[in-house]
Amino acid sequence: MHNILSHMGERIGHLVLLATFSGFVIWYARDAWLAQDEVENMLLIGPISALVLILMAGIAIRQIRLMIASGPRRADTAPVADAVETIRSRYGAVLSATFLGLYVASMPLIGFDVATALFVAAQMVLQGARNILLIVFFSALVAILPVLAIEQLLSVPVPTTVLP
Amino acid sequence: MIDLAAVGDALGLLGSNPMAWIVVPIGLLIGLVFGVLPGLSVPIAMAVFLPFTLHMDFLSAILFLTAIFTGGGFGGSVPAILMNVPGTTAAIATCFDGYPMARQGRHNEAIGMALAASTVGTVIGYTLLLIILEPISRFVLQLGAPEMVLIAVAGLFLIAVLAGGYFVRAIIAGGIGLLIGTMGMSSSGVMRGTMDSMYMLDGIETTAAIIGLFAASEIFALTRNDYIVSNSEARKVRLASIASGFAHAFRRWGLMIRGGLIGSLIGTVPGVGSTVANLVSYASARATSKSADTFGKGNPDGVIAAESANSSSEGGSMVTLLALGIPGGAGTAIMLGAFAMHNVTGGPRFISDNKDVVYAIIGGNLVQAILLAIMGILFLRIAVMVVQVPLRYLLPVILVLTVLGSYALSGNMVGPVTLAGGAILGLIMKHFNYPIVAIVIGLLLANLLEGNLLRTYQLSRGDFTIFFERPICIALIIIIVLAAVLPAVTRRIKARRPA
Repeated sequence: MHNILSHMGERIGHLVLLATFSGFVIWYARDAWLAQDEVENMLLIGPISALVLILMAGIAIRQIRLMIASGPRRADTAPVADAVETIRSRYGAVLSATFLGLYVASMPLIGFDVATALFVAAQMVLQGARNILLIVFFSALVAILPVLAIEQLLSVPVPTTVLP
Repeated sequence: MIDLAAVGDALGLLGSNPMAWIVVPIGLLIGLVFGVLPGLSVPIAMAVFLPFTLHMDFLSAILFLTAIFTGGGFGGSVPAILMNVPGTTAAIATCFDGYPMARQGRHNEAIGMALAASTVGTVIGYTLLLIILEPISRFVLQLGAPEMVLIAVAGLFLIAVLAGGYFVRAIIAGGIGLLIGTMGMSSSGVMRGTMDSMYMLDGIETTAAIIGLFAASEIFALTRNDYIVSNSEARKVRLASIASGFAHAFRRWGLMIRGGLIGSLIGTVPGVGSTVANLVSYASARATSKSADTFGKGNPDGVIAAESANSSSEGGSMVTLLALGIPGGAGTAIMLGAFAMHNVTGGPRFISDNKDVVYAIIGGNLVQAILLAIMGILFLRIAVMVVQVPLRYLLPVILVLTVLGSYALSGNMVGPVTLAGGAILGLIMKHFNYPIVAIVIGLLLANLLEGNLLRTYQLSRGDFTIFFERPICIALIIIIVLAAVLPAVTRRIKARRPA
């Protein structure tokens, strides 16, 4: 049952991706057209948008056909792993990407230094670090040194909360 | 073609200028460090250290900046091989086989090969510059908008070569890349896809997007591992293996020379440069290899082809800078800044009036290539130790450096946001087998293609037969058609041949 769902989920995920890409292409082509409805402006955007949309429609139709055609399969027995390992190995990549998104979103709000320290600590815990002292020390170090380097060496002002 | 009297004067200039030889190793080291750190590009290093050149004479200043260029060109291959994060956009193709080699515990060899190929590539690039400086500069001047369109179209063919079995998905990814690459203000002044944000006027930060897209494909996946190289024995840093990789590259002379020539020629085309050169060279090595199937899985030839081309393209880009006064990319644009700071104007007059200085720059760079090999080996001993660091410490540091590096590059949050967006998009695309390299090629070629297509349209008043009226265009069309048709024909002939 788990495998059937993941198989279907995979195809639905692909369709969602295609729908997102199509949405972007249509929005962008429309935005460009509204900005200037002349050949010069649409010289590249027009044909490329049309080509990409046609190809995506082809893939989407194929995915839907496969979804309809594929009947229920017997589920294989999934290997049993401990909870921590399962989270890290199954969702590690997705969680890392989520942490990165949150890190970037929080940078202007809580300062680069605090955001960096929190991100490093979260990432270390996700990857199996459990020594709290080490996590605090290392995340503080990684937050301080690069921020100072960018400010002092490259003269790029960085918004911070704790650091001067 | 070579003015021997000027060569003699150049040797005199180099011999009597100790400052030049003091700043070159420093420049190489700066370039290596900035190249190794993902997100901090070589142009940043050159821009940061540009003011220091005010205190140098013109020759020392240019040699210092080219040393940063050379060091950074090679330095970018180190994170590409060890972490699958191209330190510079010129190291994209190095990731394809360098990283699989690292995962197999062959990181020492891969880096040794990259160093040898970079050294030879730099030598080829500058030697060609010495020989064909004047004729090639005349040729580059004949490249108009229609020719540039066809060069960009040829670049798009790389998508097909590097599709990795998912051709239609590669075209979709390439198309999306082209569309994203055209966002912002167009060359005719129209704002598209800016969402009324002033940050989007310049469009997407290409470097940040590329680092995000590539980093995503492996860095996030590495979360489940403890080390980059699983085998503890293979993690050791072995100078002997680096040296063996270095020596192995010299057994692939043909590949290095071909990569060097491809890089030099593509490097001369303004706006194309090393980023495209390494991809073209890689694709060419793969297309002609007997073991094409092993490319992307840790074939050393992939590393050698990519690195020889990106290093030699530096010499190519110097052609347009010295002969025409046109910067081919960000690095040479900063060098042009150094020209201005010393009241020197690049161009045909500069070459004819200062042949000794031009030859001294070339000679200095040839010596730089040798110095790169020596300093690179010493530097690599430290750089390769990265594989011994547990990923729980290494991954957060890499991600932080790429994010902060992209902030330093853009000077605002556009860089980090683009990087994170690229990373998440890359993760999703990789999951559904959409080749990331295709979207990257689209991103890189979008502005070149659209700008020149528009100029061609205006030049020809909408009549695209202009492509068949210009000799260079016709030659380029023949090359593109042959490149498209030949592999299929060769496959057919091979299939018909009895085993």
